Amino acid sequence: MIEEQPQLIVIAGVPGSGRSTFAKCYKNAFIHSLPIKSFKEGLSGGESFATILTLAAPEDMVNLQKAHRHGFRITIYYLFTGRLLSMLRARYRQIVEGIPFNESSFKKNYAVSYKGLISTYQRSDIVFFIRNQKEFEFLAAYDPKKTSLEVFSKALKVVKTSVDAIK
Amino acid sequence: MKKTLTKKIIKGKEYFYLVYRKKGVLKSQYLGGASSAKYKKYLFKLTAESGSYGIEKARRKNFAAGVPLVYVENGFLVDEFKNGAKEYLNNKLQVVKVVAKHD
Repeated sequence: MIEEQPQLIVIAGVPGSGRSTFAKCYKNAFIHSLPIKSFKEGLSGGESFATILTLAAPEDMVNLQKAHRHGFRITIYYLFTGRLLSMLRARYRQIVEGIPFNESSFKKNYAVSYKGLISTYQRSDIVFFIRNQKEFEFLAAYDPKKTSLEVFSKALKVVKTSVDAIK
Repeated sequence: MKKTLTKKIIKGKEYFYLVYRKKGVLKSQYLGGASSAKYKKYLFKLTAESGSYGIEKARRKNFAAGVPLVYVENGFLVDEFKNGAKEYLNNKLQVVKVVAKHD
């Protein structure tokens, strides 16, 4: 018997961490060719979809909770990029693509995004860590049923510290 | 050979396969569940292949717009320019080393 549970794939990370590039590069692999939609659009449809988030906005948490309640299987791909590097990428993107960049809101979002990932962990089904300092590197996968929040938080801190370290 | 990742959900559990065509015959290779070593190895292989695709694309896009490509190398932030020159920056964004390409 084959059961189909709707899937929600979340590509998360701070601005400038390469979320949209990741979504394009792995459209047919990690994303399983699912359409990329906003939460509102995706949840109302009730079918599998992918979405791109910073996990810094309070509505992200509310929406993930809703998706969890609606029976979605939640997979998170979290992209790690150091503070300075992601800030520079966001600045260059402002020049290249005209996307507005505000340094103070960037700094705030940078810290909040990691906290967002911790508070989302237990509502998700699996969380993948991907480092993007130059190329995408698959680091680890955490399943909340097998790995405690404490262990997960420690691992998150270690990766965050390592990507933030610039000589 | 193009191999497509497919997924089956059986009794709530996910199983992954690689489907491909060999001499006109459709074949499939079983990778196991999301936590299996084979599946993880496959994902790891993908990151190594597409990572370079991502950076090449970013390189072209940034150079066309007249801005450097920025990434981390040996613990330094690197600004790579269109002419092949690289500036290594520290955590205060001060240039500590410049490497220029010679003709």
